[in-house]
Amino acid sequence: MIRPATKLATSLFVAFHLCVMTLFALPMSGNWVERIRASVSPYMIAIGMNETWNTFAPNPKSAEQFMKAIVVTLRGKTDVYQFPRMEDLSYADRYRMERFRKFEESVICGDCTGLWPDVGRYVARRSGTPMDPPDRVVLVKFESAIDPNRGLMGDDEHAVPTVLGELSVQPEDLQ
Amino acid sequence: MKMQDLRRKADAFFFQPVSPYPLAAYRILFGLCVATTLLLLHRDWMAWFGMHGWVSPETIHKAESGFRLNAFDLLPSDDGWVRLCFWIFLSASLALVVGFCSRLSSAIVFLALNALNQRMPLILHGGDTFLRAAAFFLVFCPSGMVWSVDALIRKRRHILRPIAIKPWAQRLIQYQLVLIYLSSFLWKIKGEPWRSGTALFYVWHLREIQRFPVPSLFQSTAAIHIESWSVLVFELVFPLLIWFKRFRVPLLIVGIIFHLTLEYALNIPMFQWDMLSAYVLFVDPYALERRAAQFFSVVSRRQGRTA
Repeated sequence: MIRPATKLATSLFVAFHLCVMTLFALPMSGNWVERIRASVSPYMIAIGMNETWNTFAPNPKSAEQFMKAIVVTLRGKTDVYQFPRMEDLSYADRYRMERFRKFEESVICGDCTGLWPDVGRYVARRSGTPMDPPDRVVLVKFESAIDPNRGLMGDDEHAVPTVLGELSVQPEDLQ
Repeated sequence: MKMQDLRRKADAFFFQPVSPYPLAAYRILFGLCVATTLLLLHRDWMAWFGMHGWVSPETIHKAESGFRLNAFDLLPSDDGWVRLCFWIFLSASLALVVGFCSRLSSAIVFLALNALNQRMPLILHGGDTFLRAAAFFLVFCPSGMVWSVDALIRKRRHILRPIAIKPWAQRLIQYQLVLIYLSSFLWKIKGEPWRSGTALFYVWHLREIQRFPVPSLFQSTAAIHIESWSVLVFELVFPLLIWFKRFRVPLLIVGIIFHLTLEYALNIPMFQWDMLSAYVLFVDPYALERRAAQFFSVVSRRQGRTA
């Protein structure tokens, strides 16, 4: 037998979570929805339940994307760091390393500029030598459209490069 | 239906004691999913979560302000602790599989999954999010009641516990699962490619996410239309009808085929297994008990023969 107070507390807990889970998951809009979302979002963020479920939606991704980092050393030598591309890996490796694809996808986004210096620094730490350390890292995004109407299938030869940003490497970045 | 009837039905749904076997089965499958996810992350653990990883903790803090329940933040800023976290998280997930200190293990696993999300949300997908939500509710579930080391310990100490459990937290996991389908449907229906039935053309042609090659038979224009619309129908029908016993088995079978197809075609590690593992919560507990009893009797017979 549950004590009435316990039952009430449990019922409130259940009702609260049913409501907030629904409000956060479903694509609803409106003043009251936004107000409730804003008021409960600190709790939902703290417990990590503030995600939406919109993979391939509303529109599936219609372009192949990948990223390269070009490292220029102090002596002018150029080195290209290619982020792992899933299609080039074995089946086992692509399953294990898919997180790199997801990471690239996250980093490429337009309002992710705050992440680029960190990515540049990480690449810089892996490049160059003590005698010829990295001086600059340039992040370049490549995008190739998939469009059946124009006969485009996301091939690399049609990939359009866009410079995302350039990091000037400082000695402390290499530590 | 009167308000009182509705209340009575809701009360029965959330609080009427049910068999503990589906929850125990879920605890085992869930623990396996978490352990596999961690093992897949192991080689790049420090690159993602270390102090000198791809993105520093400071940058993540700047990007994601506010209070976060992040286990990494509670530890000294040192790579040794980050490494230790991996082994603690993995041990807790394995403890959950065998049902040792189930409640504590669930809590550690939830903190672990939440820590991964707070430290490096950039690499996580929907499967990880579902595991995290399920882990949160699993903390409130008596998941170690049967098929667990906890149950064996209780039996040894002659501690008797009721064999039925209150399912309210388990119902929240089930609700989270159906909400994913419903939410996916509502997001997809907003997109023209889904409505026109061409969406899967793009999905099948995204090389970066492909796993095994999709046979050409399934890539014809007509097939793509049927497949795209079938996804919409499934994601709408499953959450609405799974609660009715007469539709449950066919829907679970369709769901299994759906996820196994995606597991074959798309390279999204563990996502399909994370989702499928929760299907066991919808399985008829008596059928599950029967099958488990058959399994254990076959195992013990074989052991008897080899001895």
